[in-house]
Amino acid sequence: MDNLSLFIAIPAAVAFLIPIVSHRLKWFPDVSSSVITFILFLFSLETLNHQCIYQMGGWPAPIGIIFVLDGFSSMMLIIVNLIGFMACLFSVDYMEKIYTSKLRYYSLLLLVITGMNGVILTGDLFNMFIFLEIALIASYALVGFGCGSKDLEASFKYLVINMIATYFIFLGIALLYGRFATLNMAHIVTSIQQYGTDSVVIFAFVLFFVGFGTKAAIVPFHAWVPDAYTAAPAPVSALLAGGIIKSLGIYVLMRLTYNIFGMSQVIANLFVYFGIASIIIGALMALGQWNFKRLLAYHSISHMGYIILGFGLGSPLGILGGVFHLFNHSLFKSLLFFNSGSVEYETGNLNLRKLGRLSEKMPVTSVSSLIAFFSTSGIPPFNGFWSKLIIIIAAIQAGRPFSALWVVIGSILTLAYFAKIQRYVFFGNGDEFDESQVKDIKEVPSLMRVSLIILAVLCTIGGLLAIGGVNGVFGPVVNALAGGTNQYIGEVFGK
Amino acid sequence: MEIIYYLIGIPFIAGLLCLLLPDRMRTLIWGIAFDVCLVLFVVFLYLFSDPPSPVERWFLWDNLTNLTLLGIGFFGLVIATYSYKFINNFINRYYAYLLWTLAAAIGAVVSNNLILMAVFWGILAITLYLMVGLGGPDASYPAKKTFIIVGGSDSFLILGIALLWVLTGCINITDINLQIDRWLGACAFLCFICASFAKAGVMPLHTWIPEISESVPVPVIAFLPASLDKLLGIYLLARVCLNLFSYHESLWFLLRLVGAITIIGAVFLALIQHNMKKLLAYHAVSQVGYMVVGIASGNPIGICGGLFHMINNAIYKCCLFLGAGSVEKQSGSTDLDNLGGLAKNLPLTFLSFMFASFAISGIPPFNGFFSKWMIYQGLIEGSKNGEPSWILWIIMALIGSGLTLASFMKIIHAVFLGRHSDTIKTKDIKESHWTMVFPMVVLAILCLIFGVFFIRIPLFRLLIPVVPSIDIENIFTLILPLALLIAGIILGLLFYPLTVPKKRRIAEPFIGGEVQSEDMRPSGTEFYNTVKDLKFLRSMYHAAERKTLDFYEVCKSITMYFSEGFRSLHSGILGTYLTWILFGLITLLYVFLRW
Repeated sequence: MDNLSLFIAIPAAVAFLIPIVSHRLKWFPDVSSSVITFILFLFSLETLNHQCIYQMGGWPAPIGIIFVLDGFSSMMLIIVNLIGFMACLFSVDYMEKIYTSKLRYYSLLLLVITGMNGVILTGDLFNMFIFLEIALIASYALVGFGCGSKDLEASFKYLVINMIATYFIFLGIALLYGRFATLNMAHIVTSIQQYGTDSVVIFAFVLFFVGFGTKAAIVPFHAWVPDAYTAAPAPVSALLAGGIIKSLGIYVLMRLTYNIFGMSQVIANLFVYFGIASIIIGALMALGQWNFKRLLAYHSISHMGYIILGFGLGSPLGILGGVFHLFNHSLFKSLLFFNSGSVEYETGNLNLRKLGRLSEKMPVTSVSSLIAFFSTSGIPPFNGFWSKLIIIIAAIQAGRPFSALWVVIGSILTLAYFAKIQRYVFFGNGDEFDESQVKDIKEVPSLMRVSLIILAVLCTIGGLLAIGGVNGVFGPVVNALAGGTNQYIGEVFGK
Repeated sequence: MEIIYYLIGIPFIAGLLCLLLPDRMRTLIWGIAFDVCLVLFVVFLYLFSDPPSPVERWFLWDNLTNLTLLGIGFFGLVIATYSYKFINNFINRYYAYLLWTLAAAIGAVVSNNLILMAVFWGILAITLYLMVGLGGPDASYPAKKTFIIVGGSDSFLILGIALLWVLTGCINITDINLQIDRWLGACAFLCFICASFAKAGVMPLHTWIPEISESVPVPVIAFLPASLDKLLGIYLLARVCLNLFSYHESLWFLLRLVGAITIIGAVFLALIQHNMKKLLAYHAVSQVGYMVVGIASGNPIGICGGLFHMINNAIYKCCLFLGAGSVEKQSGSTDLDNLGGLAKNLPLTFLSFMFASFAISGIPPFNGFFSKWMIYQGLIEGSKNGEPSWILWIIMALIGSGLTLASFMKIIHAVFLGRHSDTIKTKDIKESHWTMVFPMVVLAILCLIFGVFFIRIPLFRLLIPVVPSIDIENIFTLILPLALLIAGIILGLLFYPLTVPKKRRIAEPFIGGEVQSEDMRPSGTEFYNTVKDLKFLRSMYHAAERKTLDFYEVCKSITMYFSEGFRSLHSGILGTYLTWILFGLITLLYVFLRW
C-alpha cells in the first residue's frame, strides 16, 4: 500500500458518487459505503509494520504536500477505518428505521472518514487543517442529522466550540508559518532545532494544545461532547467517540508534542494533570446521568483522560499503554454506542428510568454490552484490563503512584456507572418502567447484530492477543513516538 | 504440567457446552456439570498425595494449593448435587456459571504469576456477578452492589500487583518476599488485603453478602459467599501474609483489629435479623473475622487455626445455607416470624442444621471448637510478648463465639422448634428430595468427623503439611479443658432427670385461661428485642438500619455529592463552556510562559 492518497481519494470519490447515482439505484448508498469502508479497512491492515512517504504529484517535500506513514499513523488508520466500516454496517438498518435521507447520511459519513484519513496521513500543517475542516463540517451536519430542536442545539454548540478551537489551531499554524516560512512538519522540526524554542513557538504550542485538546475532549475543553454524542445517530456517536476525537484530537496532539515540538517535563506534567482531571470529572459526571448516550459521552471524556495520562507519562511503557488503551477504547466504545443504538432502535427510548428487563428479549445486545462493560471497566481477561494494567505499571515506574491511584479510582467509578446501565436497562428496571412496553420487543436485525458480535469478539480476543503480541502490534507506534523529533525527520527525509 | 491445563480447561469447556444446551435437557446439563465436579474432586484427592510439579514461571503447587483445591473440588461437588432439584430456572446458565467459577477458582489458586492470578480473579468477579444476576430483577441491585465492591477491589489488586512488580522486579509469588520498609510497600500490602477482604467479606467490605442473601437462589449463596469465596479470600490472605510480605508489627496489628471488629460487629447484626438467610449471611461475615485474626496472629498455631477455620467454616456454613434452602423450598419462606415447629417435618434437615449450628458456635466435639481453640492458642502465644492488645482480641473472639451460639439458639427455636405457625401449612411439608438432603448430611457428618478425629485427619493430613513449623505440644494442652467440658456435659445429662418432676401434664400454651391465638405466638426473634433496646447498641443498630455504617453507601453518597457538584457546573449554557476554554488557555499560557 504505497499509494497513500487512495485513503483519501476513494472515500471522497464515493461520497460524491452516492448522491449522483442513488436516485436510480436505491441500494447503492448502503452497499457502496459498507463495501468501500471494508476495502479501506483491508488497505489499512496492509499498512501495518510499514513505513513510507508519498509525495502528492511527485513534488518533493517543501514545495509539494507529502503523506507520511509510520507506526502511529498506520495504527490510527486501522482504528478509524475499522470503526468506519462497523458504523456503515450498523447504519443500514438503524438509519432506515429512525432517520431519513440515507444518501446524504452516507455521503457525509464518507467525508468524515476522508477527513480523518487525511489528518492522520498528512505531513503538512496546513493540509492537515483542511482535512480537519472537512471532517468537522461533515460531522456538524451529522450531529444535527435528526433536525429536532435538541439535535440542532447540540450541533450548534458543537459547531461554535469547535470553530473557536479551529481558530486557535489556525492562529497557531499562521504563527509557525510566519516564524519559519514553511508548513511542512518535518521542516518545522529542523527549523526549531536550528533556531531554538522561542516564545512564538511556545505560544503556537499552547494554541495547538487548546485547539486539539478541545477536539480530544480533555477537561476543561470537553463541554461539546455530551450534547453532540447524545443528539447524533448512534453510529455517528460511535464514529465520533471511536474515530474523530482520537484522530483529530489525540493523534494530532501527540504527533505535535512528541514529533514536532518535543516532549518535556512540563508538558508531561500537564498531560498527567489534565488526564487525571478528565478521568475523575468525566466519571463523576457519568455517574449522575440518566440518559444512556449522555452517560456514554461522559465515559468517553473519562477514558480520553486515561489515554492522555498514558501518553503523558513519557516513558515507552506509558506510550504503549496509551496507544493500547486508545485502540481498546475505540472498540468497546463503539460497541457501547451500538448497544445504545440497538436499545433505541427497539424501544425508541434512551432514558434509563423508563427502560428495563431487556436481557431476555435482546440476548445479543445484552451479552455484547456486558462484554463492553467488562472491558471498559478493566475486568480481566478483556482488553481494557491489559491497557489499564500497562498504564498503572507505567505510572508507578515513572514515579507517579498517585496517578496510578487515580486510575484505579476512575476504573471503580466506571464500573459503578456501567453496573447502573446493566441494572436499569438489562437486568432490572427503572422507576418509570412499564411492563407492556417490552412485550413485543425482539432482537435487532441481523446486520446490526453482526456488527455487535464482531466488536464483542474483538473486545474479547483483543485481551488474549495482548498477552503475547502487544509489542509486536504496538511496538512500531511506540518507536514512532518515543524516538521523538529526530525519529520523525529521519523518517521524512529518509535518513 | 499438562494436568493444570486440563483442570482449568475441562470445566470451562463443559460450562460452554452446558450454556449451548437448551433448558429442556436439564438432566443432561446437570449430568455434565455433576460428572465434571465429581471428576475434579477425585482428581484433587488423588493429586493430594501425589502433587504435580508445574512450570514455575506460571504455576505453583504447594500444600496450601493442595488444601484449597481439595476444598474447591469438594464444594463444587456438593453444590452440583444439591442443585439438581433446587434449580428450576435458567438451568443451562446456572450450571455454565458454576463450572466457569470452578475453572477460574482453580486457575486463581494454581497461578504463580500474579497477573495470571488477577485474570482468574477477575473472571471470578464476573461469574459472581452473573450468578447473582440469576436471581431475576429483584437481584439487580444486589448484583450491582456486589460487582462494584468485588470488582472494584480487583482494581486495587491490580494496583497492588503493579506496585509489587515495580518494588521487587518480580511477578511470581514464589520469588517475592517483601520486607515492608517503605510506605509504597505498605500500600501494596493494603491493596492486596483489600481484594482479599472484599472476596472473603471482611468488614467494611462485607455488605454485599447480606445484600444478596435474600434475593439469590440458595445454592449460589451456599457456593459463593459461604464457601468458595471464603476459601479464595483466605487463600489470598494467607499468600499475602505468608509468602508475599514478611511480618510487620503494625500492619498485622491492623489486620487483627479489623478481624476482631468483624467478629463482634457482624454477630451483633446477625442477632437481630428476622430473615434466616440474612442472619446466616451475617454469620458468614462474622466467621471470617476468626480466620483473619488467626492468620494475622503471625505464629504457626494461629495461622494453622485460621486455615483450619477456613475449611470448617466452609463446611458448616455451606451446610447451614443448604438447610435454609431446604426449609425455603419446602415451606416457601425463610422469615423467622412465620416459621416454626418444622423439626418433625424435616427431620434430617433439622439434625444436620443442628450439627452445623453446634459446629459454628464452637461446641465440642464439633470441628468449629478445635479451630477456634487453635486460634485462641495463637492469640495467647502472641500475648507472650507482653502487649495488652492481645487480651482484647481473645475477649472479643470469645464474646463473638457466645453470641453466635445465642443467635443459633434463636434460629433453631424459630424454625425447627417452637409452635407451628398458621401462615404456613405445616401439614404438607415433607422432607426434601434426597439429592438435597444427602449433601447436608454429608457436611454435618464431616463437621463431626473433623472434630472427633481432629488430630488424626485434619491436623496431620491437611494442616501440618501447610504449616510445618507448628508446635503440636500446644494443641495437646486442650485435653484437660476438653475433659472438663465433657465431664460437665455428662454431669448435666445425669442431673437432668432429677430436676424433672415425675408427675407432669402437657397442655396447650395459654394466657389467662385462654388458649393462645396465632398473633400471640412467641416467635424466636422476639427474645432478642431486648438486645436491640440496649442503650449503647440502640444507636448502633439504628445507624446500621439507615445504612450509615455501610462503607459502600458512605462512598456512594460522597461520590454523588461531588457528582452533583460537577453536574451543577454543567449548565448547558454555551457561554459558560466557552469561558472554560478561555480559562484553560490562560492556565496553559501561564504555565508555559513561566517556564
